Amino acid sequence: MPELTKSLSASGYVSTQEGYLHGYVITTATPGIVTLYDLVGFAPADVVGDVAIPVGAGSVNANGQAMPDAGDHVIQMQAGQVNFTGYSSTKPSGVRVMYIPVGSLGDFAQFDSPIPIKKSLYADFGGGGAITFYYD
Amino acid sequence: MAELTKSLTGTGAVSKVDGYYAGYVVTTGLSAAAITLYDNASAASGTIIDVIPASTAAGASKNFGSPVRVKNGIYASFGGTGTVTFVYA
Repeated sequence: MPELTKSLSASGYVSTQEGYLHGYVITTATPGIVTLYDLVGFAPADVVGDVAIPVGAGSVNANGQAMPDAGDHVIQMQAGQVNFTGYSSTKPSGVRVMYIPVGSLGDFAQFDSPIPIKKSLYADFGGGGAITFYYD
Repeated sequence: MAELTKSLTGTGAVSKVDGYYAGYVVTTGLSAAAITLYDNASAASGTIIDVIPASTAAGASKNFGSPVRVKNGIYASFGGTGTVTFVYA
């Protein structure tokens, strides 16, 4: 029986401890897939092929050049080679527990067999919206 | 487990104490506005525990196989009209 509830409207932790996920209800329509992780941590495991170069939307230095912001990938060009000098600190890494498809307000699920969470439960929102999770 | 029911036709408290929320049945169809339920004894704020979509028809229901714990109570905020019987403990 779920003893706890938590509402999220952006990527973040549902729970930071071992437990069970019992279900969810979408309280504001979700235009993107929400991926749930039994999170081990934030790691560069998925960085290859997913590199972004800041192009001016972030900070700008005194010369008007775009500078990376926290969380941006950084590529350093050196005489014919490319060195990765950083990686996203916001990309979750862990066991994918489930995907919540694009949904409408009121979409709901409750699992007959709650999903065990070993480390922590992290919801990665592919878009906006809001979801209340039932867990313990 | 759920042993109590309460019917509402507008915004108000379903329960003012900690307990469990088990579901609902719509007895008069909703207008084009949703109902939002909060873990709260007296106000539409706090954690949202459930929503009933706009224009839900009479007879629609939801039954939580495992009722959801609420710590403060259950408060239903009606965005429009309709009648809903809530099940809780």
